[in-house]
Amino acid sequence: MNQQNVKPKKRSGTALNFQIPQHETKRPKEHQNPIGKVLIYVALCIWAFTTIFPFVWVLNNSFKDSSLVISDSFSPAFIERMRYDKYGDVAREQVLLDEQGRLVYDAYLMDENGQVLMDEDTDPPLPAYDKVNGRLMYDQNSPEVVLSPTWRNYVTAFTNPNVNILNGYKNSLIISGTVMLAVMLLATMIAFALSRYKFPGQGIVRNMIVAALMFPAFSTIVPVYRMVVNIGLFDRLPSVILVQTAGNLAFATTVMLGFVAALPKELEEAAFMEGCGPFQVFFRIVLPMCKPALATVAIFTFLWSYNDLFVQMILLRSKAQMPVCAILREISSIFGTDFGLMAAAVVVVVVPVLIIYIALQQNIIKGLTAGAVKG
Amino acid sequence: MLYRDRRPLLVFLVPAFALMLVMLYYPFVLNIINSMFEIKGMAGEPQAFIGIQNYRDMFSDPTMAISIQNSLKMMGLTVIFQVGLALVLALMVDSIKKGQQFFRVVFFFPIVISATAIGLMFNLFYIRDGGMLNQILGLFGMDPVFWLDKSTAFTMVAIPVLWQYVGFYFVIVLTGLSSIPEDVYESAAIDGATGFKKTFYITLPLIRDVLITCATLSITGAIKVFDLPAVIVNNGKPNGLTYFLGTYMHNQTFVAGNIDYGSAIAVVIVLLGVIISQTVNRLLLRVGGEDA
Repeated sequence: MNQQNVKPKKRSGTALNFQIPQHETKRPKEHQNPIGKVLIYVALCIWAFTTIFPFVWVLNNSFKDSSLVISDSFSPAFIERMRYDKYGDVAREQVLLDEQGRLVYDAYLMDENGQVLMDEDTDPPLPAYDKVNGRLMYDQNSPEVVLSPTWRNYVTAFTNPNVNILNGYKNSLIISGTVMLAVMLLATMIAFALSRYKFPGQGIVRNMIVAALMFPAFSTIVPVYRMVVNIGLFDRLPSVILVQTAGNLAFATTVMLGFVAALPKELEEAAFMEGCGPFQVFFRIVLPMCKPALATVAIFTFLWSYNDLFVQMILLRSKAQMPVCAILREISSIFGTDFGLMAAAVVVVVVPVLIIYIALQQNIIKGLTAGAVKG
Repeated sequence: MLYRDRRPLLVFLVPAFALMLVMLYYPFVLNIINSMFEIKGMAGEPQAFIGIQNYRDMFSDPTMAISIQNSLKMMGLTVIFQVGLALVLALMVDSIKKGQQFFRVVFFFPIVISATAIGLMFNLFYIRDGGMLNQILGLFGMDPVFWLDKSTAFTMVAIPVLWQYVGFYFVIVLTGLSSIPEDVYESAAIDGATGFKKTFYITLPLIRDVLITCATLSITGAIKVFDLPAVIVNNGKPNGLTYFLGTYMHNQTFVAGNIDYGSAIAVVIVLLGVIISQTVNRLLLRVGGEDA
């Protein structure tokens, strides 16, 4: 069963009025003049540049010290850069440990009045300054200050006591994984019920599912919030799972409806003759045959759930419950001025998605063209 | 025979549909009712019935006017730039032999990235002291610019919103293009239609439905814009000039505590989305119909 054979019913005048090509043949291209062709490639490469370059820029800067990001964000991070003091020596870091034994990088030397001492010539302030001799003070055994390349931003992102990114990954995986599986199963079930059974109110159910595509999260969030509080799920992962599952069902069901309806019924009938009940037919025959459409539903549901900030932000309050996107927002509000760290945080959030995308891009784009369309 | 016994529907249909009723339809209807009652605080119960007072208040709320204006502008911009650019790119990619797959993958890439991450990324571009754009200006000896100034903030928020989803419509349009059978072009070539003529008289009318779908989708998408403005210009900075309907609804409901007013804004979002997308859909169908 090929993905491209999916053909949802055509409904005029709705957002789903979108026809699926039955074939995707490569036709021979006509001859073009070479200059036009070069121009086309140039134009396409310019757009490709705008989609790739920002991420390369962020990746590059995630390996730099914040002060280097704001002074020179275009130099490649693999070129070694050190910080020097005003005597031309490589600055060394004053390494201090806080009470929990973690490294404190931004500890400044204070004078007797508790004022932070700074080197007037350098901005931002250098770690430690000996006012008497007018010289930076540091332990000669402490590490040199490397502006680039440095892993420090990533170390801070993963080890700072304020936000726990690893925990965020775990929450994201639990939420989006559950939402994905639930949506796959429930959407196929509805599609199966609607395309195989006849029952009163069938048309209404079908229309209600299509209409639900038009409900933005804004229009349901306040009552949902109150409901979640009332049943004691506020600030707990199941709340987001329930809301996102319901929110993604309408789209997934419309994709699955087109697919399940097009499946040949002979196999199911044969299985019935052999003594299979409807549940065996569904789980042993229909569900396995839906694999290509399910792949599309799975990927899109996962991505939308992972990237959906609005619902996460409103239903989860405590940091321990936050998935990655909410964590990212949290990081930006705490460390907003540490640009190196911000760049690293963006990379940390983007990389898992990037891996999924590269591994499955064939399915994603094919799925989109197979009528997987959502505003 | 197999499907005559309807009892399995209890398992196949009822749980999933019940979830939709409870988590989508019930709150949707409740939200409309809430918008007509006075509600104090997030946990407060609806108190006095105030009818359409909230909707009347919108006419005298300057921020609401800004939000509607911004959201409408955004809709127009998405249709022109997202769908327009997607069409141009798709036509170009369709005309080349090598690298089609590459451009598909690369153009689509920003869509899978969370808008939160993209928002933070653009924040790094826009920073006044040492942001990427000002560093570029610096290379040419120009003074740094405050990119999120009153006069430019809307444009600076609109750019990433538009940029992110071009690839989405690009893929849809490209699929539409590749489904045009080759013999259509062959007979057109015999009649002497080539180049731009071919594009305007053959290709565009043939993918009309696809383009209308894209326009409808981009409009409904534009009215739901939330994450990017929420991250780039928190609370409609500067001076509430960059509020969109989504962010203003969020602000009124969850920051200012005007639950009933926020609910009313949510209703307006749905209404505007349905009305405008349907109107544009009909209009485009009619315009296209005369061409064909």
